[in-house]
Amino acid sequence: MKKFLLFAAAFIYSLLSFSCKEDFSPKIEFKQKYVLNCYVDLDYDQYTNTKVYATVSKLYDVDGFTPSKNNIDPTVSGAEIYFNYRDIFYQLKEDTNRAVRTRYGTNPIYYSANLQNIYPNYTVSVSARMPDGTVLTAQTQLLEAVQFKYSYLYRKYFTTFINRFYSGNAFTITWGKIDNRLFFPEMLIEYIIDDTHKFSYEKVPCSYIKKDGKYEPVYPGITTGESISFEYAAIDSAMVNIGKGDNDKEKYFVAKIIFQLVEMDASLSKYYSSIHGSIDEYSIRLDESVYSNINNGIGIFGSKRTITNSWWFDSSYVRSFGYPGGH
Amino acid sequence: MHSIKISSRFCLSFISAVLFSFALKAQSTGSLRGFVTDSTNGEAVIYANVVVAGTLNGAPTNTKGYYYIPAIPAGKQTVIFSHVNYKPKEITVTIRANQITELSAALTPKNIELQEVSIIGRNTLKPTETNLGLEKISAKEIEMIPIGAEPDVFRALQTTAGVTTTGDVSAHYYVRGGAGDQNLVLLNGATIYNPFHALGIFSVIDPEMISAVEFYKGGFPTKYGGRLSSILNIITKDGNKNSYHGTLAASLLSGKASVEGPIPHGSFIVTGRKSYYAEILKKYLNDQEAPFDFYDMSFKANYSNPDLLNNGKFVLFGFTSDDAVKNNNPLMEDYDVKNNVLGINWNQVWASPLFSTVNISYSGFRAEVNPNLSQSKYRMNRLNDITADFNFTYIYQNKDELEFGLQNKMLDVKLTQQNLFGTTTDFNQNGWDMTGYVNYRFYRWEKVGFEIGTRVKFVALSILRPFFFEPRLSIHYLPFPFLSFKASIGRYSQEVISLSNENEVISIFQPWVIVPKGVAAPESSDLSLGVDAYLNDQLEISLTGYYKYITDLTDVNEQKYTPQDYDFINVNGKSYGMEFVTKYQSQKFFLNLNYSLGWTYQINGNLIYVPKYDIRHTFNILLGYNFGNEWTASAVWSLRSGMPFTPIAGFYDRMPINNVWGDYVFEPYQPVIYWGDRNSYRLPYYHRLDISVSKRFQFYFTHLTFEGSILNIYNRKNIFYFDKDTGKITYMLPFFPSVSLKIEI
Repeated sequence: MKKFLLFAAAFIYSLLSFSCKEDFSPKIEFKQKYVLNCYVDLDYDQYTNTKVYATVSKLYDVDGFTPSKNNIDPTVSGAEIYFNYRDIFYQLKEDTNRAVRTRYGTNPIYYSANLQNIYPNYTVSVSARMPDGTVLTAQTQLLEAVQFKYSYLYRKYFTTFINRFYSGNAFTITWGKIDNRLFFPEMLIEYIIDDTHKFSYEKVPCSYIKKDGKYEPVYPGITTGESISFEYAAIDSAMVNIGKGDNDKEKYFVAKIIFQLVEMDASLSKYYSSIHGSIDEYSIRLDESVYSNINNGIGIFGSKRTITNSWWFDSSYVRSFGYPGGH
Repeated sequence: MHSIKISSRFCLSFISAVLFSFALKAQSTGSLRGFVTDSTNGEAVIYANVVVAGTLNGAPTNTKGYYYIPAIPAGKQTVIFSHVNYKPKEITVTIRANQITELSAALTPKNIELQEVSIIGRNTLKPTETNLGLEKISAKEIEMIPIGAEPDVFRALQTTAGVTTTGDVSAHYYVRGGAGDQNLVLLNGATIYNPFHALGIFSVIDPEMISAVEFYKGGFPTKYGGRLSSILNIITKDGNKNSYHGTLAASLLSGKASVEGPIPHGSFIVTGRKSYYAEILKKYLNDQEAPFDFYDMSFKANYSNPDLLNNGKFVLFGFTSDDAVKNNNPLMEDYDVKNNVLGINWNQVWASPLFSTVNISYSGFRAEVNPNLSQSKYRMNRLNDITADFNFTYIYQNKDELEFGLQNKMLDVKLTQQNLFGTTTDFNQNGWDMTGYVNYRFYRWEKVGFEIGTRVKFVALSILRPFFFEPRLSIHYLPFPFLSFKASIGRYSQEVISLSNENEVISIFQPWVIVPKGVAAPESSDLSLGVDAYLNDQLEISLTGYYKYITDLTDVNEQKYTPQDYDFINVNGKSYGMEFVTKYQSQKFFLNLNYSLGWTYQINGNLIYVPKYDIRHTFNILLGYNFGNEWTASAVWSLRSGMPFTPIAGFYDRMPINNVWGDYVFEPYQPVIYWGDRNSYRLPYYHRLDISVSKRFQFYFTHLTFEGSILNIYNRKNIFYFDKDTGKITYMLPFFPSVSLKIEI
């Protein structure tokens, strides 16, 4: 018995001689890499105002694991960036946005070019030569141009006073199914308040759902679908909300209803998907895979487009809510 | 369907021909069979040795306490029944030529004072077994592991060679490089799909209801299938056949009760457990609030009436468990996981040396995540499993055995979940799996034995079905009575998988589905070689090596960025390694020392990486000591390589695209981590010492057992993970004292 206790004591002592806490760092040796973010903001309406934007920065290291501790702006100045469209090379010009400050207290350095006659579906590439000679490249296919179809055509002015027996209870906008593409639809009511003289916007929900005895709006979200529907009742409710609680409805000049859609190409859609989203509170993932299509570096090269359509309101419809405006 | 009938007829004809041709060879010998039970409560004594004195004839009892010894010379014979926890018993019996003699025995437990700290039901016949990967674990072993929140069968498994885990927080176990969903857990033959309570911190199987555990780490016989890595077969207690008893027990986490007693021609047992202080689990979760609420209940009733059916036994059993996390916060999600099992077994010893079991069971699983108003997504998984198995064992006079059967499984699966974009996808599957199996054991020779057999899949669940045959072969060779060389090779398949992401160290939603469209069902080929040495009655040493190659494993598609991409992809995998085990057992002292060395890889095209359960070295020491006067103590020390992790290779400012309508380059960039290659580095070594002391004493008409445990006695800061957003290191379980009290009436 004594021998056993002695043995046990010696064993426990030897274990205690292990360090209870070891030095550990989840970091490996830091190696420099460049980050290129570049996207083409397309103009498929007039083909006169396509913009290409880019930023270049470097990976950095900090003491510890909190990247926000970094206080040296990693943005790279002096890079040569070329955008290649149908074997025509456009150089992006370095500039600074003086209206915005970065978290380093600097104005963001970016590269851009304004281009004309950029047409859908072409494969384009970007090449960025860093000051140290490192070259980053990437390729993407420009967006196709989607066309809208409407469940009801407003030949003149927008109203929800329509024959819903024939036209349905919702205003549906269809752009068609395209794989690997993200769409961000939004519908807004544009109005002016007399004393501000500024345009204001009321966001229109797709519908309302009843939750815990209360009606809650359901706004359109990111979708891979081919259409979006806004219930006429929801549009009416948004109209009511504009001047809700204000007895003086006359000061709200309600002008237009606007539908806009941002579409992203496959590369940008994959990038967006990989950096957004959450699982739940309890599941713990140890790493994440962020999409990159940049050769010899990381980042993204893609294209996007914003399509907007608007309708003036019918004045009798606007008047029915007590507001002036419309046509 | 026509081909199925032809195949079935062919198999039955073949089996009948083999069966009767051997039966004719019986000569001037007879057979002996019967059941071995505990004299105090009538429970089956599992793995007892039954030996005919002065001969080499003998057999161990099976999980029903049944034994069968063929080819015994006719005449008067003395039969010795023994088991490490019971007093041996000798009975003289007359064996009649060409007849089966029935002889059952009730063994008396050894005096507690003399009782060894026996944790594994060893038996002298072990060298002749060909089951290379089989561990037989008794309820005592489970009780011996120092408890944390609860005593746990899975914690006991994690101390055996070849089994590893990824952390204190998880009772999930990984066997010989296999993934967590490659382990089948059977309760009296019915599948338990979610065998975990509280995010996997411990198992749903209350040790109070366990009679015995069979754990196959590989090379499992043809009657088992449907998983690639391991089979855990849990047999629950029958209940006391002699008198009524009750038990009350309480730990820091839960309270439990059990009642057992006789019924006409049988017995019953009911157990139940309910959490009442889930705050204790915060220790496991780095003080994160997790309002767990769980319970489990089981019952078993058996009925054996010789007037109704001689040598027949019917068992009705049920099990239910529920785990819920209910946050009183609408901004946090709630979740709920349920298991429901109901089954019936019919065990029959026939007039010929044929033993049959029929298992019909229902197992239901349902998991639901309700996001409330949080950012998480709604998810629901429901699985209904109806199983009907027919198993037969025929033992020939020359000691050979033939096992055959037909197993049916009907599954109905529903998975509903929202993807990143809020789009709900419904996933409905159903299918029928009909598999036949046949296994022949050549036990007629003294020094060499082998088993050969195959599973035959008549109807498959999945579309890209596994191979039709799963042949298996195992061999043992005994050059000396104390030394046994063993080898096994086999093919295994799996059609029901869990869609959990192995990259998540904690995952609350682990849905089970039939292998989905677009991916093939995984299959593995497994080779094991081993040697067992029984140096004396007390010391046993074994060395086992294995190699496993798996095709069509299901892995999360890390390149899924759009809903059109498949969630899962097929990858291949391989694992190999060796295990060394030493067991020493004396009257008062028990030692189990084991070391495992293993490599596990997953192969996706040209990319080879290790999964997080690739643990290179694992070393466990279990010590038990009986001080006498009903004082016992035990200790477990575990040392293992750190878990692989993906390292931080730097940081960068990422374009966040928070406002899709704006100019993205002018948004404030988000500082984030840049990750290195997947699982390319390892956390520091893990080690931990747990100790436990228990004292049993009589208090009026009750027996009280008091146990005190300390987990991680030297407060080792084992790293669990580091937060991917902040780099903050989270440690596993700290110094953790715990007590429990058990009252037996």
